[in-house]
Amino acid sequence: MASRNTGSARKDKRARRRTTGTKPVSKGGRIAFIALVVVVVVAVAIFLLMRGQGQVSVAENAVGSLIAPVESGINTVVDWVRDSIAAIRDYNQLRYDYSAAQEELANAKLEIARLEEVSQENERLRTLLDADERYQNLNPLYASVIAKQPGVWFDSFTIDKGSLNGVEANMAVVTADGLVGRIYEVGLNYSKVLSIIDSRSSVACVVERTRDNGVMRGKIESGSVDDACNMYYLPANHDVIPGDTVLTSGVDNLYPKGLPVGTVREVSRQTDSTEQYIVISPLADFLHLEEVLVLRTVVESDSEALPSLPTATPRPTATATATPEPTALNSGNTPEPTDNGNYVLPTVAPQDIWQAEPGVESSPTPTPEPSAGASASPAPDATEEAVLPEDRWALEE
Amino acid sequence: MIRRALPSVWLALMILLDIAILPQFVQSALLPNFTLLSVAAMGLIRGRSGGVLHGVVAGLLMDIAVGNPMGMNTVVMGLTGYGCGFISAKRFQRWLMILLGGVGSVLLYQGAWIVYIYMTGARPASQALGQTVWMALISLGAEVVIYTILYWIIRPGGLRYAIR
Repeated sequence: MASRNTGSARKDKRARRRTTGTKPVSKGGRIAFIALVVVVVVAVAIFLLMRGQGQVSVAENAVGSLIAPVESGINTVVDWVRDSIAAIRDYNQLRYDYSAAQEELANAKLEIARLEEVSQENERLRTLLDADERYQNLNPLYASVIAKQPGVWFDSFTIDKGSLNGVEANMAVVTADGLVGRIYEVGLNYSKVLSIIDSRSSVACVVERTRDNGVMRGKIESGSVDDACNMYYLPANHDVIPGDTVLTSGVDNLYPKGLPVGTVREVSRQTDSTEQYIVISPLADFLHLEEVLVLRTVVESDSEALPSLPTATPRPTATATATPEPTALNSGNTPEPTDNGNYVLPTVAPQDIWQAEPGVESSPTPTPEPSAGASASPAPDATEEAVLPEDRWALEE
Repeated sequence: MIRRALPSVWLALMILLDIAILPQFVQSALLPNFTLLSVAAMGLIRGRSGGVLHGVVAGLLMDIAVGNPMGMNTVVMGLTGYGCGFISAKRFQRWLMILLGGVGSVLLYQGAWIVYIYMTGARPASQALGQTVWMALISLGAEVVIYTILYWIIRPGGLRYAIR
């Protein structure tokens, strides 16, 4: 019986091994395993229950001290894995953020450039606005430069205003600095300007301090490195010095009188007075023209259209051989300096001169009539010896 | 030799996944505990002894790395491994074993946490129970996947020991 029982038990074990593939465990091993599990569970339970408020139990302290190195090693591995995953995850985010930052930086640079341009334009327009107020009586019109001739100089250029805006030919063009030129061709919505520095341009000028008249001509050509102009036909005994300001005189019936043109840079010392000239540096910047003012006031060139202007007092017809004393003629003709450095002749009525001499008949002096609209003071005999005071011919507006 | 080491490597990877990788991408209370589910699958495949061994070791590593309180994961995973080994010994159908093992392990783990919270004097929020149910359902799907992978890795036909 026992052998049969043993043999059948062995058969059962073999059958069990074939079906399950497991090795039977001894009873002692099973008990040891269960004991181990129980010890672990009890130990953990003790740790949990003996946990105090801010105080570590002896057992927990002992175990903690033992496993601290192991914990450090495990945490090193965990931190390495965590940092690697974070680096991979953040790499895509960083790359995206970098691209976004690059794009934002590029847009910001463009915006900065645009704002700088706007700021400079604002500055230019602000100075032009001051000039607009200064030339208010000449009906100024703001215009932008839209095209120019090839080259660095603005010797001839196009603006964006035309006949639809009231622009006509021969109107003066200025900037806040000074005279630029005149309109020589007008379209509906554009006009062409000939600058004063162009070799085809000439401007009747007067030196502000000495009141010497002359004609300024431009001399810009292709390849010119300087925008200086030459002023000719000055009196032989002029005392113009470098630094003097030059204005338009208005005698050419092209430009209104008194517009700033430039400053004297050099004075030639030619022995022949007909070859004497002075070099003028224009006040306007002919390298950087962007906005200009068109003075919509045309100085009429047709004399018949001009209003009647007072003529010079006719010379009296002398019936006696006696001639007036030079001192009497010249009395009161000495130029006197004024506060602004200009020299003007004192105001002397012609009848005061001529009536002093006996035997001299004088014609009645016509009363000067005010002329509306004319801003120039034509002086056909301004260059004659006996020149009447300028301010007598100043017309009332 | 490699086949014997693969379950340990798998458990180490699951521990790193739970501690160092998943928290950086997903912040959710319903995220499955892949270490716990791997211990449960190990118990279902290798039996009680294998389940307890892997459960205690995995739980101990978890406790050393992030354990607070110390020992909680050791006890729970050890019991999970033993319980799943016990279930596998009953020779249920495979789907039933996976269902019982997966859901049971999650309920045991969450239950242990709720008991511990009560022991510390706090009161768990009322939504903890609903959270447990949802976690059990989500973990069931993960358990199926892990069991399948481990089954084809381990091949229990080559094992030589088990406590019956």
